[in-house]
Amino acid sequence: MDAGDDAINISQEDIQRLSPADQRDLQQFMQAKQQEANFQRTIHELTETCFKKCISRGSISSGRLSSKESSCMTNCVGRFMDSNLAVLRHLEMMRQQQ
Amino acid sequence: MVFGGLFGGGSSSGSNNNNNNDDSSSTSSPSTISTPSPSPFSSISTSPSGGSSSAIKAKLQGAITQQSNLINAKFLISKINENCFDHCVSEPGASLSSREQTCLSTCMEKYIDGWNVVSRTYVARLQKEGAQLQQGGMGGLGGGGF
Repeated sequence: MDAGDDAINISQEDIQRLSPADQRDLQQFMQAKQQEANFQRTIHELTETCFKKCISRGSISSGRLSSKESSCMTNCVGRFMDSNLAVLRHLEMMRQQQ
Repeated sequence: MVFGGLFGGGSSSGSNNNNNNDDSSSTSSPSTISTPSPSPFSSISTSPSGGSSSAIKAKLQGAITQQSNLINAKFLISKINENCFDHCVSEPGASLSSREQTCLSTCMEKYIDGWNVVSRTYVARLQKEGAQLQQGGMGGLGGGGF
């Protein structure tokens, strides 16, 4: 994403004025934000994948998910994560066989 | 909406949030994020050099939170665009028909609905697995995790 386009307007001096404790705080803050961003990224990817699977083309008539679509989305998330695990497990098995 | 907190604010509970006025929209769900405040950049540009260390920290945190919310909103919008264009405009004509426009609006709402369902399910699953990992222990992801 193009996050860098909108530079945050805080001067170098301002940053040098930060106390060590606040610098640590900020570092933690950044880590938490990074985690949050990864997490949201996953949700975006999952939503797209599952939307494609669960909402059939040309069938959009309501702004809400039908109960069928909704349970499809729920299942989709669950099975996607199961698949992820299954792939990892199999990979581990292949690695051990070598 | 249920997981509104995911769009920011959520994890900064420990830090002092006495920063400027930019927290007003940070607890919005996708449905409210689709109507962003008029000028998201206005409160990012800071007033000329600000006082104490903690004030600077707060300012930085506010700016970072806002940037990250903005990126998330942009990303959601671009996904909606991609997927709903795909769904609603199968044979692009000289202009968008009213049927296509209605479809786009409906699709957008549905997509956001789907986003909420996915995010709820995903969080629940992570929490379940987290609890299994440390069964016997405290359990759960400690709530405030994300």
